[in-house]
Amino acid sequence: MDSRLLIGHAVKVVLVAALAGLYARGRSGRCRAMVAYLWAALLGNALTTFWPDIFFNYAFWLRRQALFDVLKLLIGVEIAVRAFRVFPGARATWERLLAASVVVATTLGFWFLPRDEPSGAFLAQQPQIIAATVWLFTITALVIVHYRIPVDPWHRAILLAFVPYLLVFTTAVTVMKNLGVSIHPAMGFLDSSAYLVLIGYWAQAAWRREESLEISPATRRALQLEGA
Amino acid sequence: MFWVGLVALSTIAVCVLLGRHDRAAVAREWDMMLGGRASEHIRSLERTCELDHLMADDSWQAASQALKADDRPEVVRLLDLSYQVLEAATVNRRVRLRAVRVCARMAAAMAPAPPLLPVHFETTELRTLAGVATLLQHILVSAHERFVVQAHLLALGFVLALRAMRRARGGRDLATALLRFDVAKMDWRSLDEAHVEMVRILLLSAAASPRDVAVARL
Repeated sequence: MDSRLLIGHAVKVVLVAALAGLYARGRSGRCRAMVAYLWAALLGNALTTFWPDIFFNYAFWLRRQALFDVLKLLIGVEIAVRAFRVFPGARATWERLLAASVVVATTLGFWFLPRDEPSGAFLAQQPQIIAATVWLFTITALVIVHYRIPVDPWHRAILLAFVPYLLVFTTAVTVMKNLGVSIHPAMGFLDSSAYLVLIGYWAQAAWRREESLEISPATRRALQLEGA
Repeated sequence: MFWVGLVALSTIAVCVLLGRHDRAAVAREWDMMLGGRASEHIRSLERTCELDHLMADDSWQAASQALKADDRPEVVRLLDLSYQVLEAATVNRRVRLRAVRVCARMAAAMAPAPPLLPVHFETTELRTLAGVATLLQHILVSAHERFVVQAHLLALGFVLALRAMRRARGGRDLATALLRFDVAKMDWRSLDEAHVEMVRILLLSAAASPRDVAVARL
Protein backbone atom coordinates (compact mmCIF):
# COMPACT_ATOMS: atom_id res chain seq x y z
CA MET A 1 0.00 0.00 0.00
CA ASP A 2 1.16 3.54 -0.79
CA SER A 3 2.69 5.11 2.34
CA ARG A 4 0.71 8.32 1.83
CA LEU A 5 -2.53 6.34 1.71
CA LEU A 6 -1.49 4.53 4.87
CA ILE A 7 -0.90 7.87 6.62
CA GLY A 8 -4.24 9.08 5.27
CA HIS A 9 -6.04 6.15 6.92
CA ALA A 10 -4.11 6.72 10.16
CA VAL A 11 -5.11 10.41 10.11
CA LYS A 12 -8.73 9.35 9.69
CA VAL A 13 -8.58 7.07 12.74
CA VAL A 14 -6.94 9.76 14.86
CA LEU A 15 -9.46 12.37 13.66
CA VAL A 16 -12.29 10.11 14.82
CA ALA A 17 -10.48 9.68 18.17
CA ALA A 18 -10.07 13.47 18.52
CA LEU A 19 -13.74 14.14 17.74
CA ALA A 20 -14.85 11.36 20.10
CA GLY A 21 -12.64 12.84 22.83
CA LEU A 22 -14.13 16.30 22.31
CA TYR A 23 -17.69 15.00 22.60
CA ALA A 24 -16.92 12.56 25.44
CA ARG A 25 -15.15 15.18 27.57
CA GLY A 26 -17.69 17.90 26.79
CA ARG A 27 -15.19 20.09 24.98
CA SER A 28 -16.96 20.26 21.65
CA GLY A 29 -18.69 23.54 22.55
CA ARG A 30 -15.48 25.30 23.50
CA CYS A 31 -14.44 25.95 19.92
CA ARG A 32 -17.15 25.20 17.37
CA ALA A 33 -14.99 26.28 14.44
CA MET A 34 -12.46 23.65 15.50
CA VAL A 35 -15.14 20.95 15.53
CA ALA A 36 -16.22 22.08 12.06
CA TYR A 37 -12.58 21.95 10.95
CA LEU A 38 -12.13 18.41 12.26
CA TRP A 39 -15.37 17.23 10.60
CA ALA A 40 -14.31 18.88 7.33
CA ALA A 41 -10.88 17.25 7.61
CA LEU A 42 -12.46 13.86 8.29
CA LEU A 43 -14.86 14.18 5.37
CA GLY A 44 -12.13 15.38 2.99
CA ASN A 45 -9.82 12.62 4.14
CA ALA A 46 -12.51 9.94 3.72
CA LEU A 47 -13.37 11.11 0.22
CA THR A 48 -9.74 11.17 -0.97
CA THR A 49 -8.76 7.85 0.63
CA PHE A 50 -11.90 5.81 -0.18
CA TRP A 51 -12.52 7.25 -3.66
CA PRO A 52 -9.10 8.46 -4.82
CA ASP A 53 -10.04 8.16 -8.51
CA ILE A 54 -12.67 10.84 -8.09
CA PHE A 55 -11.34 13.04 -5.30
CA PHE A 56 -7.54 12.68 -5.25
CA ASN A 57 -6.88 15.54 -7.65
CA TYR A 58 -5.68 19.13 -7.64
CA ALA A 59 -9.12 20.69 -8.15
CA PHE A 60 -10.59 18.96 -5.10
CA TRP A 61 -7.48 19.75 -3.03
CA LEU A 62 -7.85 23.45 -3.90
CA ARG A 63 -11.48 23.54 -2.82
CA ARG A 64 -10.75 21.65 0.38
CA GLN A 65 -7.81 23.94 1.13
CA ALA A 66 -9.94 27.03 0.59
CA LEU A 67 -12.48 25.70 3.10
CA PHE A 68 -9.68 24.91 5.56
CA ASP A 69 -8.27 28.42 5.19
CA VAL A 70 -11.62 29.95 6.11
CA LEU A 71 -12.07 27.55 9.04
CA LYS A 72 -8.55 28.24 10.34
CA LEU A 73 -9.26 31.96 10.42
CA LEU A 74 -12.55 31.27 12.17
CA ILE A 75 -10.73 29.13 14.75
CA GLY A 76 -8.33 31.99 15.46
CA VAL A 77 -11.15 34.49 15.82
CA GLU A 78 -13.31 32.19 17.97
CA ILE A 79 -10.46 31.36 20.36
CA ALA A 80 -9.68 35.05 20.79
CA VAL A 81 -13.32 36.03 21.27
CA ARG A 82 -13.83 33.29 23.87
CA ALA A 83 -10.53 33.93 25.66
CA PHE A 84 -11.11 37.69 25.96
CA ARG A 85 -14.88 37.71 26.56
CA VAL A 86 -14.55 38.78 30.20
CA PHE A 87 -11.41 40.90 29.67
CA PRO A 88 -12.45 44.13 27.93
CA GLY A 89 -8.97 45.68 28.06
CA ALA A 90 -7.35 42.64 26.47
CA ARG A 91 -10.11 42.42 23.87
CA ALA A 92 -9.66 46.07 22.91
CA THR A 93 -5.89 45.57 22.47
CA TRP A 94 -6.47 42.43 20.41
CA GLU A 95 -8.94 44.29 18.19
CA ARG A 96 -6.47 47.13 17.66
CA LEU A 97 -3.68 44.68 16.76
CA LEU A 98 -6.03 42.76 14.47
CA ALA A 99 -7.10 45.92 12.67
CA ALA A 100 -3.47 46.96 12.15
CA SER A 101 -2.59 43.45 10.95
CA VAL A 102 -5.47 43.40 8.47
CA VAL A 103 -4.26 46.67 6.96
CA VAL A 104 -0.64 45.45 6.71
CA ALA A 105 -1.62 41.97 5.46
CA THR A 106 -3.95 43.36 2.80
CA THR A 107 -1.29 45.78 1.58
CA LEU A 108 1.36 43.04 1.46
CA GLY A 109 -1.11 40.64 -0.15
CA PHE A 110 -1.78 43.02 -3.03
CA TRP A 111 1.90 43.92 -3.28
CA PHE A 112 2.94 40.29 -3.74
CA LEU A 113 -0.07 39.32 -5.86
CA PRO A 114 1.24 37.06 -8.69
CA ARG A 115 0.52 38.69 -12.03
CA ASP A 116 1.98 36.07 -14.35
CA GLU A 117 0.41 32.79 -13.17
CA PRO A 118 -3.39 33.03 -12.89
CA SER A 119 -3.88 29.23 -12.83
CA GLY A 120 -1.55 28.76 -9.87
CA ALA A 121 -2.66 31.87 -8.05
CA PHE A 122 -4.21 29.97 -5.16
CA LEU A 123 -1.08 27.89 -4.56
CA ALA A 124 1.02 31.04 -4.92
CA GLN A 125 -1.15 32.80 -2.35
CA GLN A 126 -1.10 29.94 0.18
CA PRO A 127 1.98 31.15 2.10
CA GLN A 128 0.40 34.60 2.49
CA ILE A 129 -2.89 33.13 3.69
CA ILE A 130 -1.07 30.88 6.17
CA ALA A 131 1.10 33.77 7.35
CA ALA A 132 -2.07 35.79 8.04
CA THR A 133 -3.60 32.88 9.97
CA VAL A 134 -0.42 32.30 11.97
CA TRP A 135 -0.14 36.01 12.68
CA LEU A 136 -3.71 35.97 14.01
CA PHE A 137 -2.72 33.12 16.34
CA THR A 138 0.43 34.99 17.35
CA ILE A 139 -1.31 38.21 18.34
CA THR A 140 -3.84 36.16 20.30
CA ALA A 141 -0.98 34.41 22.14
CA LEU A 142 0.74 37.75 22.78
CA VAL A 143 -2.37 39.30 24.28
CA ILE A 144 -3.07 36.17 26.36
CA VAL A 145 0.39 36.27 27.90
CA HIS A 146 0.54 40.06 28.28
CA TYR A 147 -2.81 40.31 30.07
CA ARG A 148 -2.35 37.10 32.09
CA ILE A 149 -5.46 35.42 30.67
CA PRO A 150 -6.13 31.91 32.06
CA VAL A 151 -6.69 30.43 28.62
CA ASP A 152 -8.60 27.16 28.25
CA PRO A 153 -6.20 24.17 27.88
CA TRP A 154 -8.03 23.04 24.73
CA HIS A 155 -7.55 26.47 23.12
CA ARG A 156 -3.90 26.44 24.15
CA ALA A 157 -3.46 22.98 22.60
CA ILE A 158 -5.06 24.17 19.35
CA LEU A 159 -2.77 27.18 19.03
CA LEU A 160 0.36 25.42 20.25
CA ALA A 161 0.05 22.57 17.76
CA PHE A 162 -1.47 24.35 14.79
CA VAL A 163 1.27 26.93 14.34
CA PRO A 164 4.22 24.48 14.00
CA TYR A 165 2.17 22.39 11.57
CA LEU A 166 1.37 25.46 9.49
CA LEU A 167 5.11 26.18 9.34
CA VAL A 168 5.69 22.69 7.90
CA PHE A 169 2.79 23.15 5.49
CA THR A 170 3.85 26.56 4.22
CA THR A 171 7.43 25.30 3.81
CA ALA A 172 6.16 22.33 1.79
CA VAL A 173 3.97 24.55 -0.40
CA THR A 174 6.81 27.03 -0.99
CA VAL A 175 9.24 24.24 -1.88
CA MET A 176 6.70 22.68 -4.27
CA LYS A 177 6.09 26.03 -5.89
CA ASN A 178 9.81 26.68 -6.37
CA LEU A 179 11.08 23.20 -7.28
CA GLY A 180 8.21 21.89 -9.38
CA VAL A 181 6.32 18.61 -9.73
CA SER A 182 9.26 16.27 -9.02
CA ILE A 183 9.28 17.21 -5.34
CA HIS A 184 5.51 16.80 -4.82
CA PRO A 185 5.51 13.20 -3.42
CA ALA A 186 8.24 13.95 -0.87
CA MET A 187 6.60 17.15 0.27
CA GLY A 188 3.21 15.46 0.35
CA PHE A 189 4.65 12.75 2.60
CA LEU A 190 6.24 15.35 4.89
CA ASP A 191 2.99 17.29 5.14
CA SER A 192 0.89 14.17 5.79
CA SER A 193 3.27 12.98 8.53
CA ALA A 194 3.22 16.40 10.23
CA TYR A 195 -0.57 16.45 9.96
CA LEU A 196 -0.77 13.02 11.61
CA VAL A 197 1.36 14.29 14.51
CA LEU A 198 -0.85 17.40 14.78
CA ILE A 199 -4.10 15.43 14.92
CA GLY A 200 -2.51 12.95 17.34
CA TYR A 201 -1.62 15.80 19.70
CA TRP A 202 -5.14 17.19 19.49
CA ALA A 203 -6.66 13.77 20.12
CA GLN A 204 -4.51 13.43 23.21
CA ALA A 205 -5.50 16.95 24.35
CA ALA A 206 -9.18 16.25 23.64
CA TRP A 207 -9.12 13.15 25.87
CA ARG A 208 -7.00 14.72 28.64
CA ARG A 209 -8.68 15.06 32.01
CA GLU A 210 -9.49 18.57 33.19
CA GLU A 211 -6.94 19.95 35.64
CA SER A 212 -8.53 21.15 38.85
CA LEU A 213 -7.80 24.76 39.77
CA GLU A 214 -7.54 25.67 43.42
CA ILE A 215 -9.46 28.90 43.22
CA SER A 216 -12.58 30.25 44.85
CA PRO A 217 -15.99 29.79 43.21
CA ALA A 218 -16.31 33.58 42.92
CA THR A 219 -13.15 33.81 40.79
CA ARG A 220 -14.22 30.78 38.77
CA ARG A 221 -17.53 32.45 37.96
CA ALA A 222 -15.96 35.84 37.30
CA LEU A 223 -13.46 34.41 34.83
CA GLN A 224 -16.01 31.96 33.43
CA LEU A 225 -13.54 29.10 33.67
CA GLU A 226 -15.44 26.21 32.15
CA GLY A 227 -14.87 22.83 33.70
CA ALA A 228 -12.13 24.13 35.99
CA MET B 1 10.86 32.54 1.44
CA PHE B 2 9.83 35.79 3.15
CA TRP B 3 6.52 34.22 4.17
CA VAL B 4 8.19 31.05 5.45
CA GLY B 5 10.50 33.22 7.56
CA LEU B 6 7.54 35.20 8.89
CA VAL B 7 5.66 32.01 9.79
CA ALA B 8 8.82 30.55 11.40
CA LEU B 9 9.23 33.66 13.60
CA SER B 10 5.57 33.53 14.57
CA THR B 11 5.90 29.83 15.37
CA ILE B 12 8.80 30.49 17.72
CA ALA B 13 6.85 33.33 19.37
CA VAL B 14 3.71 31.24 19.89
CA CYS B 15 5.63 28.19 21.17
CA VAL B 16 7.66 30.28 23.63
CA LEU B 17 4.69 32.35 24.83
CA LEU B 18 2.12 29.60 25.19
CA GLY B 19 4.64 26.90 26.09
CA ARG B 20 5.50 28.83 29.25
CA HIS B 21 1.92 29.82 30.00
CA ASP B 22 0.87 28.25 33.30
CA ARG B 23 -2.92 28.40 33.56
CA ALA B 24 -3.02 27.28 37.20
CA ALA B 25 -0.56 29.99 38.27
CA VAL B 26 -2.44 32.65 36.33
CA ALA B 27 -5.75 31.51 37.84
CA ARG B 28 -4.22 31.72 41.33
CA GLU B 29 -3.11 35.31 40.64
CA TRP B 30 -6.64 36.19 39.60
CA ASP B 31 -7.99 34.42 42.63
CA MET B 32 -5.77 36.54 44.86
CA MET B 33 -7.34 39.64 43.32
CA LEU B 34 -10.94 38.58 42.85
CA GLY B 35 -11.41 35.86 45.44
CA GLY B 36 -12.51 38.23 48.19
CA ARG B 37 -9.32 37.68 50.18
CA ALA B 38 -7.65 40.95 49.17
CA SER B 39 -7.81 42.41 52.67
CA GLU B 40 -6.36 39.20 54.09
CA HIS B 41 -3.43 39.41 51.66
CA ILE B 42 -2.86 43.05 52.53
CA ARG B 43 -2.85 42.34 56.26
CA SER B 44 -0.39 39.50 55.74
CA LEU B 45 1.85 41.77 53.67
CA GLU B 46 1.68 44.53 56.30
CA ARG B 47 2.68 42.04 58.99
CA THR B 48 5.65 40.86 56.92
CA CYS B 49 6.78 44.44 56.31
CA GLU B 50 6.35 45.37 59.96
CA LEU B 51 8.45 42.38 60.97
CA ASP B 52 11.26 43.48 58.63
CA HIS B 53 11.14 47.01 60.08
CA LEU B 54 11.18 45.67 63.64
CA MET B 55 14.21 43.49 62.96
CA ALA B 56 16.13 46.29 61.23
CA ASP B 57 15.18 48.86 63.91
CA ASP B 58 16.02 46.47 66.72
CA SER B 59 19.49 45.84 65.33
CA TRP B 60 20.03 49.56 64.80
CA GLN B 61 18.97 50.38 68.38
CA ALA B 62 21.25 47.66 69.70
CA ALA B 63 24.05 49.23 67.64
CA SER B 64 23.30 52.59 69.25
CA GLN B 65 23.50 51.01 72.70
CA ALA B 66 26.80 49.37 71.73
CA LEU B 67 28.12 52.76 70.62
CA LYS B 68 27.26 54.25 74.00
CA ALA B 69 29.12 51.32 75.60
CA ASP B 70 32.03 52.09 73.20
CA ASP B 71 31.92 48.53 71.82
CA ARG B 72 32.95 49.42 68.25
CA PRO B 73 33.14 45.86 66.77
CA GLU B 74 29.63 45.19 68.10
CA VAL B 75 28.35 48.42 66.49
CA VAL B 76 29.72 47.34 63.12
CA ARG B 77 28.31 43.84 63.50
CA LEU B 78 24.83 45.05 64.48
CA LEU B 79 24.77 47.65 61.72
CA ASP B 80 25.69 44.89 59.27
CA LEU B 81 22.87 42.80 60.67
CA SER B 82 20.37 45.61 60.19
CA TYR B 83 21.65 46.12 56.66
CA GLN B 84 21.36 42.41 55.83
CA VAL B 85 17.73 42.35 56.96
CA LEU B 86 16.88 45.25 54.68
CA GLU B 87 18.99 43.88 51.83
CA ALA B 88 17.02 40.61 51.85
CA ALA B 89 13.76 42.55 52.18
CA THR B 90 14.74 44.75 49.20
CA VAL B 91 14.99 41.69 46.96
CA ASN B 92 11.53 40.66 48.14
CA ARG B 93 10.09 44.15 47.50
CA ARG B 94 11.57 44.41 44.02
CA VAL B 95 10.19 40.99 43.06
CA ARG B 96 6.77 42.03 44.38
CA LEU B 97 6.88 45.33 42.50
CA ARG B 98 7.74 43.48 39.30
CA ALA B 99 4.71 41.24 39.91
CA VAL B 100 2.60 44.34 40.61
CA ARG B 101 3.64 45.79 37.24
CA VAL B 102 2.68 42.56 35.45
CA CYS B 103 -0.59 42.15 37.33
CA ALA B 104 -1.52 45.78 36.66
CA ARG B 105 -2.39 44.62 33.13
CA MET B 106 -5.12 42.47 34.63
CA ALA B 107 -7.10 45.43 35.96
CA ALA B 108 -9.52 47.01 33.50
CA ALA B 109 -9.17 50.37 35.29
CA MET B 110 -6.67 51.56 37.86
CA ALA B 111 -7.29 53.72 40.90
CA PRO B 112 -4.74 56.53 41.18
CA ALA B 113 -1.74 55.81 43.40
CA PRO B 114 -0.74 58.50 45.91
CA PRO B 115 2.21 60.47 44.50
CA LEU B 116 5.76 60.07 45.78
CA LEU B 117 6.68 63.52 47.08
CA PRO B 118 10.19 64.81 47.86
CA VAL B 119 9.04 65.84 51.36
CA HIS B 120 8.55 62.16 52.22
CA PHE B 121 12.30 61.52 51.96
CA GLU B 122 15.50 62.67 53.61
CA THR B 123 18.33 61.52 51.32
CA THR B 124 19.18 63.58 48.24
CA GLU B 125 18.92 60.64 45.83
CA LEU B 126 15.43 59.74 46.95
CA ARG B 127 14.30 63.35 46.99
CA THR B 128 15.46 63.64 43.39
CA LEU B 129 13.72 60.40 42.49
CA ALA B 130 10.51 61.61 44.10
CA GLY B 131 10.85 64.87 42.14
CA VAL B 132 11.12 62.87 38.91
CA ALA B 133 8.09 60.82 39.99
CA THR B 134 6.08 63.99 40.61
CA LEU B 135 7.07 65.37 37.23
CA LEU B 136 6.10 62.14 35.47
CA GLN B 137 2.73 62.15 37.21
CA HIS B 138 2.01 65.40 35.36
CA ILE B 139 3.32 64.19 32.02
CA LEU B 140 1.75 60.72 31.84
CA VAL B 141 -1.83 60.46 30.69
CA SER B 142 -3.48 57.32 32.05
CA ALA B 143 -3.71 56.11 35.63
CA HIS B 144 -2.37 52.76 34.46
CA GLU B 145 0.81 54.32 33.01
CA ARG B 146 1.33 56.35 36.19
CA PHE B 147 0.89 53.26 38.30
CA VAL B 148 3.41 51.22 36.30
CA VAL B 149 5.97 54.04 36.24
CA GLN B 150 5.55 54.57 39.97
CA ALA B 151 6.18 50.85 40.55
CA HIS B 152 9.39 51.15 38.49
CA LEU B 153 10.50 54.21 40.46
CA LEU B 154 9.74 52.55 43.79
CA ALA B 155 11.88 49.56 42.82
CA LEU B 156 14.69 51.96 41.90
CA GLY B 157 14.13 53.82 45.16
CA PHE B 158 14.70 50.64 47.16
CA VAL B 159 18.03 50.17 45.41
CA LEU B 160 19.05 53.78 46.12
CA ALA B 161 18.03 53.57 49.78
CA LEU B 162 19.97 50.35 50.18
CA ARG B 163 23.02 51.93 48.55
CA ALA B 164 22.76 54.88 50.94
CA MET B 165 22.75 52.45 53.87
CA ARG B 166 25.72 50.55 52.46
CA ARG B 167 27.69 53.79 52.08
CA ALA B 168 26.73 54.90 55.60
CA ARG B 169 28.14 51.66 57.03
CA GLY B 170 31.52 52.41 55.49
CA GLY B 171 32.04 55.68 57.42
CA ARG B 172 34.92 55.93 59.91
CA ASP B 173 32.96 57.97 62.43
CA LEU B 174 30.50 55.42 63.82
CA ALA B 175 28.14 58.01 65.34
CA THR B 176 27.74 59.72 61.97
CA ALA B 177 27.46 56.34 60.25
CA LEU B 178 24.62 55.38 62.59
CA LEU B 179 22.81 58.64 61.94
CA ARG B 180 23.18 58.40 58.17
CA PHE B 181 22.13 54.78 58.26
CA ASP B 182 19.03 55.71 60.23
CA VAL B 183 18.09 58.41 57.73
CA ALA B 184 18.42 55.97 54.81
CA LYS B 185 16.48 53.38 56.82
CA MET B 186 13.62 55.83 57.32
CA ASP B 187 13.54 56.49 53.59
CA TRP B 188 13.47 52.75 53.01
CA ARG B 189 10.50 52.54 55.35
CA SER B 190 8.66 55.29 53.45
CA LEU B 191 9.25 53.38 50.24
CA ASP B 192 8.00 50.21 51.89
CA GLU B 193 4.78 51.88 52.96
CA ALA B 194 4.30 53.21 49.42
CA HIS B 195 4.87 49.70 48.06
CA VAL B 196 2.16 48.24 50.33
CA GLU B 197 -0.16 51.00 49.16
CA MET B 198 0.52 50.06 45.54
CA VAL B 199 -0.37 46.42 46.22
CA ARG B 200 -3.55 47.57 47.96
CA ILE B 201 -4.52 49.77 45.00
CA LEU B 202 -3.83 46.98 42.55
CA LEU B 203 -6.02 44.51 44.43
CA LEU B 204 -8.82 47.04 44.82
CA SER B 205 -8.64 48.04 41.16
CA ALA B 206 -8.71 44.46 39.91
CA ALA B 207 -11.59 43.55 42.19
CA ALA B 208 -13.59 46.63 41.17
CA SER B 209 -13.42 45.93 37.44
CA PRO B 210 -16.57 45.44 35.33
CA ARG B 211 -16.14 41.65 35.73
CA ASP B 212 -18.11 41.99 38.94
CA VAL B 213 -21.01 43.32 36.91
CA ALA B 214 -20.74 40.28 34.68
CA VAL B 215 -20.79 38.04 37.74
CA ALA B 216 -23.90 39.75 39.03
CA ARG B 217 -25.63 38.95 35.77
CA LEU B 218 -24.80 35.21 35.93
